Amino acid sequence: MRIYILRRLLQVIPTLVGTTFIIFIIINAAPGNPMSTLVDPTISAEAIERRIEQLGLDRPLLERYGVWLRETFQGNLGYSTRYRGRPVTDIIQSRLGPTMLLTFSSIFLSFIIAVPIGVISATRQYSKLDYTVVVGAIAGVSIPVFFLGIVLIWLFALQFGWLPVGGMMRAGARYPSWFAWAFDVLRHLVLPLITLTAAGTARFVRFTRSSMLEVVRQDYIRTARAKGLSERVVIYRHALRNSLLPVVTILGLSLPFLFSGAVITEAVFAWPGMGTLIIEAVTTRDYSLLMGTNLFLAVLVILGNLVADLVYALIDPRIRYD
Amino acid sequence: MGVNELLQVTNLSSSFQTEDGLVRAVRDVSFHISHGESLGIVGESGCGKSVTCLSVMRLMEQNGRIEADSMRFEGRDLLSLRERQMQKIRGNEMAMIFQEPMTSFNPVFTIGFQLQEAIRLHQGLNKKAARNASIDMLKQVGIPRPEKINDEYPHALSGGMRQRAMIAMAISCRPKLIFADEPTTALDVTIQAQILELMQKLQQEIHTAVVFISHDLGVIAEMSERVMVMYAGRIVEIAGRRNLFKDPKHPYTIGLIRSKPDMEIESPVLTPIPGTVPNPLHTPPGCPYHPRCEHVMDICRSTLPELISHEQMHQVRCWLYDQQGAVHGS
Repeated sequence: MRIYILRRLLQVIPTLVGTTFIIFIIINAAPGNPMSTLVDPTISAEAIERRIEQLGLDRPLLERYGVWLRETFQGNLGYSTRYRGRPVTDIIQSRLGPTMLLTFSSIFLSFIIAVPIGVISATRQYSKLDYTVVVGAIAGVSIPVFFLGIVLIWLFALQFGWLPVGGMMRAGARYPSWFAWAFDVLRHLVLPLITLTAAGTARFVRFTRSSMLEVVRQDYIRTARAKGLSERVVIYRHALRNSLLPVVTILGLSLPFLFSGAVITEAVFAWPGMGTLIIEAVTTRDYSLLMGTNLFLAVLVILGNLVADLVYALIDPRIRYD
Repeated sequence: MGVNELLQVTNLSSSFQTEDGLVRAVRDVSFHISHGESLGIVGESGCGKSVTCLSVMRLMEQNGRIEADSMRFEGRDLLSLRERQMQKIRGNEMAMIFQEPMTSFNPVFTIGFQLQEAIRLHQGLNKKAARNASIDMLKQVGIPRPEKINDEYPHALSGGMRQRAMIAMAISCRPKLIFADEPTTALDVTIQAQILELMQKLQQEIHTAVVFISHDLGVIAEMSERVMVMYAGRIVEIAGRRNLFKDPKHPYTIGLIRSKPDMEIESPVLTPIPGTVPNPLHTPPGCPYHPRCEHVMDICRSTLPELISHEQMHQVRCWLYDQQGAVHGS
């Protein structure tokens, strides 16, 4: 087991080098450069030229990638042009908290809501309830998050005025207590969380339902019934555990998906997380920041896969890594 | 039908609603079994053997429907019992051994856990006592190192071992009736013999009645005192073992016996039954066997014969033996 984990972690290195190289090429193939969005149009072309030279952006692509890679291995992700020379690691760190809050509470909520719905829907296949769930789930995965987000903002923020339009805190607010701060963050969290959770729940419902339908047809479920176990025990003890095996994999694999889903949701609600940061980095051609955030997502994908595999071995006795 | 009957089934019909239409898997099946008796059910795939047993245990899938005039188990009418009462019977008084030992255990629980589940449920034992009982059971079915196997997951066991464990699970609550649904079909021949021997031994030890389902006449001859032959969902012949093999009546039974290799008769050629089992969606009118029958008469094509007593305890459903065995027609 330990050797397996070690081997998997070693595989991370070439994967990351490959991923970042491709990203580097693609970013540089895109038109524009950090100067094109930042600089006052009255500044002379020579001055821009000089600045580009200073930043080393006139060097060959491979050389620049080499420098980036060398510095990255030493823990230096470079400096942002958008944020006036702030270190990229710093910026990412400051954005991690809000994103984690949004993403993990969304995964948790989606899972808690989706599993029972999926199970109930599967055990009453072809009932009215089942059809309602299926249609709802298709609607959930089909509605784009930015659309749902905007509808929610329009309804709850603009029409009813119950919740804030966006952001994570009131601008310039000073909170008398820790509790007041938490409450305000929570109020800001509600709409983006609903948006992200709606999509996640819909996906998990579909997975759980189809997985459950597959499992209840298995021979061992009949064996469990033949033992005289009640339907509840048959479903929630014998069937659920088996049907959650693939769902766990999906959960691990969807970590990066949820983060990227959060990109759009964060942008819609101006949530100060990784998603908003990535979009800023792209629109301002902030190369260091872009590479840094993408590296972060790539690590997340790889770790998500690894965690899914390890958890799978924990819950499925047939799988052993040795 | 004496008072000693353990199970008395009268006119059982089971059907499934499928996308292609109604499949009538079992039709008007009546039989009985006494305490400690062994009854064999034989027939080709799809003849309704398994569905008959699943119907008695009320384990049909959601799309299945069971109808019967009565289905009495020790005086209780199984059809009118609530699901909760039925659960007290299943695994406790009536157990089932399935065909596929490889897929009949839940892969994520240990063998011991799955045995103890039934023991704890029906006998109210605590964890430790149930564990001991489960190890005892595994020992009784001849599993080596039962303490260790008890904590193993199913995938660590061979097919033969799993079937032994399955038998251990079935007998763990000393049921009065066991349905063994082709318990040796998925096993290789040497293991088959061991499992059959084990089942015979256990049946005598715990004095339970066994309904033994098989498509293998050799196995049936070994395991059953009485034999019921089914074709297209109906009983076509039912007789004592000796009678059935020495003096088979129904052309289908005769065909089955002829298509089985026999070491004692030196005939190198087997005689298979021509044709195939009818599609359960479109069973032929009249006697369902008539398209494959060598003695087919006009009446067979239009009218279904009754199951009539030929001799004491020998019943057959065929126009050849209508009117106390008097040959009909030609």
